[in-house]
Amino acid sequence: MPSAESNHAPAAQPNERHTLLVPLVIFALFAAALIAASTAYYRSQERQLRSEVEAQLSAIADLKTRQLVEWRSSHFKTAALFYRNPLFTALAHRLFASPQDEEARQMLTTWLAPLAESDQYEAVFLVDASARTILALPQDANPLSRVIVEEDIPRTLQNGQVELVDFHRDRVSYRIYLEVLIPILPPEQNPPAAGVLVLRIDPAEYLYPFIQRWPVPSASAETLLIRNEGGSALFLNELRFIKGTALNLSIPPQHSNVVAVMAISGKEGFVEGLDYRGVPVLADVRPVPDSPWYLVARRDIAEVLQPLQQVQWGMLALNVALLLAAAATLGYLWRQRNERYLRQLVQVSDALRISEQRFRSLFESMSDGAALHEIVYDASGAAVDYRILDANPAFERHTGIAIEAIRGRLATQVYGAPAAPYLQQYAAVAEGGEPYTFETFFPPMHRHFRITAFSPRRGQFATLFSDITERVRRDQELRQKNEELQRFTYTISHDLKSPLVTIQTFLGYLEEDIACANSERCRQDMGYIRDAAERMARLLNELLEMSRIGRITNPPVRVGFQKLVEEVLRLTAGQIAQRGAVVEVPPQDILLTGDRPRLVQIWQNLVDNAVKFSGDQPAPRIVIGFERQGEQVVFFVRDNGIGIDPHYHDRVFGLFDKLDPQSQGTGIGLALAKRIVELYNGTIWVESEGSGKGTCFHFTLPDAVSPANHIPKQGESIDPDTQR
Amino acid sequence: MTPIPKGEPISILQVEDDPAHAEIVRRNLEGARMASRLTHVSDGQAALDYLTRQGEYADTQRYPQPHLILLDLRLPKVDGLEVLKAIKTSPHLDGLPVVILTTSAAEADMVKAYQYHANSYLVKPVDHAQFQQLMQAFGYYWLAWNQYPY
Repeated sequence: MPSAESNHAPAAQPNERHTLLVPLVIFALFAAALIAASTAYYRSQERQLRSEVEAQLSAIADLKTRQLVEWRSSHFKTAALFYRNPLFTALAHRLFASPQDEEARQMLTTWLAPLAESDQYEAVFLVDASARTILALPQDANPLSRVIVEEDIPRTLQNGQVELVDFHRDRVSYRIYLEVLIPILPPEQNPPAAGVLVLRIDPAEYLYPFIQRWPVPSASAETLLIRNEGGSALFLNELRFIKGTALNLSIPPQHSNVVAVMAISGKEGFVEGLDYRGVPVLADVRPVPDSPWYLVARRDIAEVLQPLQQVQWGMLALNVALLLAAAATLGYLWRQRNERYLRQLVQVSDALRISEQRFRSLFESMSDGAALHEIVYDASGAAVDYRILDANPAFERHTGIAIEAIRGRLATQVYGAPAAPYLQQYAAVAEGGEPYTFETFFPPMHRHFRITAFSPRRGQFATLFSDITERVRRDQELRQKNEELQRFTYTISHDLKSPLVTIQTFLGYLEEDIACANSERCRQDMGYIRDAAERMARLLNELLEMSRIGRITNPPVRVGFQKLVEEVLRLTAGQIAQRGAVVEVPPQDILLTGDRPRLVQIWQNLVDNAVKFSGDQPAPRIVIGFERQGEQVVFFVRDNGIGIDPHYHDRVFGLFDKLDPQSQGTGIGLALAKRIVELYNGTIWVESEGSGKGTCFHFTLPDAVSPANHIPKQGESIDPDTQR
Repeated sequence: MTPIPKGEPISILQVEDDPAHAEIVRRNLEGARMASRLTHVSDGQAALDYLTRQGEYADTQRYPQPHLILLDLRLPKVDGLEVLKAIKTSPHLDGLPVVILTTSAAEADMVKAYQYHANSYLVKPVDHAQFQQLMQAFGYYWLAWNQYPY
């Protein structure tokens, strides 16, 4: 039977899911921290980068703006050389007045040629008041644009101011030009001017490259020049990413998140928005002072943050690596823990298995019966029955009930009783846990058991029981013997003391008698003394006899019933004759095996008794025989004497219980007979109505009567002496 | 119980199975010369029959009504203690003084006897002189000094 620890698994089995949570939580926290840290780092890097870019863009924009301003003012400075220059004006007037004036032409050409040949200007034109080109340098230069001729020149003629005409596209050549218009006016004279000096600028020569130039190599950076054209942002230069945009692409004002629109709407400084491609950019926007221009220095955010990309990837990689490492570590630790736990589990399981084996083998081989049961409760929680869960081979041996037949069955079924035996006691044990031992007689099997019930687990109880029938019987026997001994001792002391009293007292009387010479009295008193002494002697003899019954036995012999009776009659012949009794012995015979003298004694005492108590019967008759009652052979000795009052039937076999005080003997005879009968596992009893109706003693001798008993036919002898 | 007429000798019923012992008592009481009439029965059943006037004991002349019972314990047929108990639980007989005279000095017997309301418990001495003294004392006490209802 497993030990009482078995209802608990090895040291607290942890909830797998529960403790898995802990490392997961740790991991999650770590991951979160890591992500937060790297994000923060990234953000700070980004911020830093942006501010760097902001500074850069600002610097570039600032620089370019200033340079643009410079550029514009340089043209105005150049213009100032010619504006209201008396010499130049005079020359121009000469040429206007007479276009054939070669000298004037030559002098002007010389003057203007450096300008035309310089990089600054693509061509130089001298136009008259009717906007007719009088002089063009180089001579094959594209003619002036119509709009210049038709609009700007007339205006300049009228207002007499130097003007820088902004970017425009020539319809014919499709080229983009700027022109410096210088009205030819003598100093101090009011407009209209006599003509205009046009310095045509090809922005592609210098301006565009200048604008497009970026001090550091960059994939997306550019500066743009834009002009507010009717609310929309018109791009003045060729864009980096889209061709054909100069003076073509304009973005309406509703796209307020486009940086170009932001520029013309008055925003100044660092902005973030979309560029003309819709790409998110960082830009510096600012108006170019003293011009209709706005400068946008922009870079793609993507490009700006490019370096950060690497950081980003790096961080990501680092994060992933760290997380993996963390996961791996945790996983490893977890595995270790699991392994340790598993190892522990295996150890415990092994130990348990060994223990189980040990107990199993004990269970199987122990000589006491053992069984495990569980209590069956009804709906109200009261114990109503119990179920047998398991039983060991010894159980089967003791009870004769096969284990397989009862396993899992209810006690009421197995024992066939209306109530499960000892249910209350067992239920108390199963619930209270206190072991309970008791001895009981189990009627269905006629055996005594000592049962110990204990509870290995609540609701269950196990019983260990040993068959104590032998012990109980022996105890009973012992008790009986003790009682017998007590009574014996008591009786003896009394029965010895009594004659002693007699002897002593009558010795005294004897002295008196002798003194008085009363010989009659003397004889009488000596008689008393003698009787008493004889009584003591007889008592001692019969005591010896009684004790010998148990000790010295002769080897068993086979003797026929008839032969036995013959011997008995021989021994009691004297008394029989004296009383004049007649003895009848029916001729049936039967073979007996046993201690011959002892067997003889049984009949002898009974015959003795019959003769003694024949009373006044004139024709005393004694019958000695046997009869078959079923399986048993019952011997009897019947007389027609005084009988025994039914009242005393029990006492008749008692030691020293004499019913007739006058009779001889100490009453031991019948007790002796009983003792011997019991030696042969038999019983003896008396039938008598008492008061002169005779007595019949019956007795059985199972152990002496041989089993394969042969009742011989009439005349056939079973005397072993005559048998061959 | 019928009152004893003045001058009538005390009648004792002796219940004793050993004839030798009966003889001893008889001789002593005779010798004591105290007024007494001694009747003897030798077993418990006879004693009960006597007291209840069964059978032959119906004859009150031959078997006088005893004033005192001298009772041995170990008796055939009906044990002495049984007789004692029977006497002391019977409404007609419970007034009779019963003196136990026995060889048994066993405490168990003594306790039982007193429990059954024996009036006295005497143990037969194993000595001639002592026995005589005992009987003398018995005589003096129970026949001379002890009062019986009149």
